[in-house]
Amino acid sequence: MPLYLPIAEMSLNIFLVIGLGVTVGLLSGMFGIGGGFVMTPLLIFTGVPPAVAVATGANLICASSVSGALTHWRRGGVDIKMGGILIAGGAVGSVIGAFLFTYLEKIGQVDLMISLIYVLFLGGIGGMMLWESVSTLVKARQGTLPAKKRPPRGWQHSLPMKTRFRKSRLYISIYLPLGVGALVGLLAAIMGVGGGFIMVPAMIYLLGMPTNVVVGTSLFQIVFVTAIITVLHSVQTQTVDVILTLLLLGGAVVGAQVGARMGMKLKGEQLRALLALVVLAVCLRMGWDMVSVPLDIYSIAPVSP
Amino acid sequence: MTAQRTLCLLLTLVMIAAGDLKATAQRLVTDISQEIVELRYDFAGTSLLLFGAISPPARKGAQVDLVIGISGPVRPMMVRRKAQIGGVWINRDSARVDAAPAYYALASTRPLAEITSSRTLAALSIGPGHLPFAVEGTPTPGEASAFRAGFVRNMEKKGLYRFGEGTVELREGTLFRTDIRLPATVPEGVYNGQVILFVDGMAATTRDIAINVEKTGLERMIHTLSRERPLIYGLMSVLIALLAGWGASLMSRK
Repeated sequence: MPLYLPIAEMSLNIFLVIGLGVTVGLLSGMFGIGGGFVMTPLLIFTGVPPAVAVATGANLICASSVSGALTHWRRGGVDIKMGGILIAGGAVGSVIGAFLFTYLEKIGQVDLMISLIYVLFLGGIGGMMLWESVSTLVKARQGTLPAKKRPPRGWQHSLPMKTRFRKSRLYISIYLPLGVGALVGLLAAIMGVGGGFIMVPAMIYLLGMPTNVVVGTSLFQIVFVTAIITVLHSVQTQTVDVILTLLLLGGAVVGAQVGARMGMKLKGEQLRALLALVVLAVCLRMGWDMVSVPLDIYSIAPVSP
Repeated sequence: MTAQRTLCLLLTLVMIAAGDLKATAQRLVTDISQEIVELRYDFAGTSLLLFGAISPPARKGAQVDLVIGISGPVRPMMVRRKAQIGGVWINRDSARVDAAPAYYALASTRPLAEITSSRTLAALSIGPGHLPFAVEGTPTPGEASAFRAGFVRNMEKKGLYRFGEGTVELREGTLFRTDIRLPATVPEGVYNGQVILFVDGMAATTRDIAINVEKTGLERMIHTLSRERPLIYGLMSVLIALLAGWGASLMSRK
């Protein structure tokens, strides 16, 4: 059954759209990720204009993160002060990201930039995850599992403007969370993701936050930053397709339930290896599209408003 | 007497000539199956039936042809050309097409080249090569035609430009019909069309038609809001996302 999308100005099969939502929901339920970095490329592969895919992706992540954020909030797993500073940084980053996005769209390089950033990030993260999980799997088989080490203290503790984060039991410079927030906001605006895959490692290794507040605080800031990004893209490029968001969300909710159940049956390393393979597959496909000879070297696009 | 008779003869001749003229001036009667096309949530493109009659029929032995051109609203577009830089295909050169219709369909009884001369086609702006728009800002002036061809090819691939030479059916030299296909991606706006009757390669008469393509219902509301009140639209999208996300989590908990 075809469905007309008013903003993308195209018709997509409704089952394909819901199927996409289910697939991404399955992944996010299974691996505990937002799934934006799979959703945006998949939308692009189905023919949705990249700009619409990114903006709608941000809108979707906003929707799919809110329930998790609320759950963690109730359990006291959100460091509000830290979250607030991350959001402030994220607001700055996403404004810069949205302007960069608009500018690149005007000069016709936005598709290239989206592909390039995706290939770099997905390749890097997928490669690292695959390496780490496979070596853990191999070592577990050999019976030489190393003890986990705490990361060493480094340059990040010599920055000024130190402040106390009670919930995270930290005394660090506010420039750190501001900077991390800005970077994630920038990426989120350009890639149409929540940025959890950058935020969570940064919180653990760079900020040194205790793991019980990491996921909750990350989701808390994702809800706000993706909300800001949705508004920015709506105003600047008019590419948020709310109908697409709702359909994808519907599929994702169902998929996440199934995915969570499937995820419980697999070991952590196996899950990470599997996720790494998914990430690398998406990365390879995007990379291939960039280097393979295009069907037509001429392309057309509406003149941006 | 002779003068009178001559005058009489002249008058008769003029009357006969006028009567003959009247007989050869054909009129086109046309109708279309749908004058308003609604872009609703389930719109997957549509086919319009354009039909009509030539009245009175052209004299016996005359070569009768019909050419139908329909153009959609004008939308400024960019045409970009990729080049391989360091192994990666990158949009390098670009040009603007300001006055091209966002939709163009051509239908005719026979290949255009057989119907009339290319000069006539150009004068009437009919056919792929004669669409009335210019390509501006190409890297060099000589590349305009390559960019133009690239633009038309892309529009054709999207189904937005259609060149259906030989798709008009003509019966007994009087009744004609053709299908006008609108793909799912047609933009909203007024689509103007022209049916041109050719008799022996000369444009004899024309008839204008108009089709309204409009978004209706929720789709129209959403589209209009997103263009005219983008801030409100953005805030609304966030609110809907938050409520839907929250609602979905409530439902899945049960």
